[in-house]
Amino acid sequence: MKRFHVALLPGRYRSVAQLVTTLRAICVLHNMCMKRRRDSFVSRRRRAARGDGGANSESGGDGGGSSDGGDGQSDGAPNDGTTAAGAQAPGGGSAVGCGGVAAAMADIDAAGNAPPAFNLIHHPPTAGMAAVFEAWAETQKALESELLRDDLNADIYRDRGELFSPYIG
Amino acid sequence: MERNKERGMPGCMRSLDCYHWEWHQCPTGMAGAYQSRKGKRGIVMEAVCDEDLWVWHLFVGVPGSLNDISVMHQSPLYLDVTGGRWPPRNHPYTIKGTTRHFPYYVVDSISPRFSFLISPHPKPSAEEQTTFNRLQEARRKVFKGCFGSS
Repeated sequence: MKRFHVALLPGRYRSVAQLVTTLRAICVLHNMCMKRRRDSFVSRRRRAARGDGGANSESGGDGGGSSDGGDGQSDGAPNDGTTAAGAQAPGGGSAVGCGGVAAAMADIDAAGNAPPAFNLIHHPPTAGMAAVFEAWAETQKALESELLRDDLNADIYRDRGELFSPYIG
Repeated sequence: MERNKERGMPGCMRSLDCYHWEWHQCPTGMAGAYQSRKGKRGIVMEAVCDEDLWVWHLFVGVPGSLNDISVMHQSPLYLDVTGGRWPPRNHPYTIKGTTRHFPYYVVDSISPRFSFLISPHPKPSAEEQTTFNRLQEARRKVFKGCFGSS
């Protein structure tokens, strides 16, 4: 970011929208520069020298929204061949009998009594809300944060010689 | 996360911090909202970056009078975390024999003690705590290097 001089100096735009657009553009350009240059960074070169390649094994980006798809109806697979008596099943699939009307009639119980395939959802809305409340409660645990910090204290203090060696030189 | 694990902080995703950008041409009528505690008018940006200085998350446009906590409560990152959409729980890590599934961000000491934020000890008394604070500050330094803030 500091490579772009405009971000170091005070903004001289008239509106907040212009400031926001400028900062976003700077971040995009900054990331493009980083992508080009990060293989030459010291930390990556050290990792590469140790033999693990220095590849970035991070997972995904931050804060991406989840996209829920696949709630639509699924059609039945079309049956090839000669269809003597093809009937559209109420469940969305195509009940095609190779044996003619008799076979279709024999299968009518399964097809005819099947519930209509609406846009089914996997969980009722209350379950979704419960999951949100559960996730919210999980993030608000101050005790968990302090326990994690205490555990990290002990581990870091034990390995402090190795951990601080890159900073000491 | 692999690199953070090698550096003594398994489960640490990235560094999260806020940065104030001064706004010289701020209209006088908006000065009350955009004036920070230092008396300068500006906007706040919340960002997450890793040690490669790659900016993973950016939230800009909040008035400068808000502090980091208020900014974080408006941020889409916080809303995603509290809504259960982020972070992924499929990277378990073990610290001192305890396996956890909830990764965390490294933040400064003003941030609240949420389970996805690790802040330094406010008043370190033992040598262990001082050591932890030093390493934690070293992790947070990437943000300062990225945005050129002090």
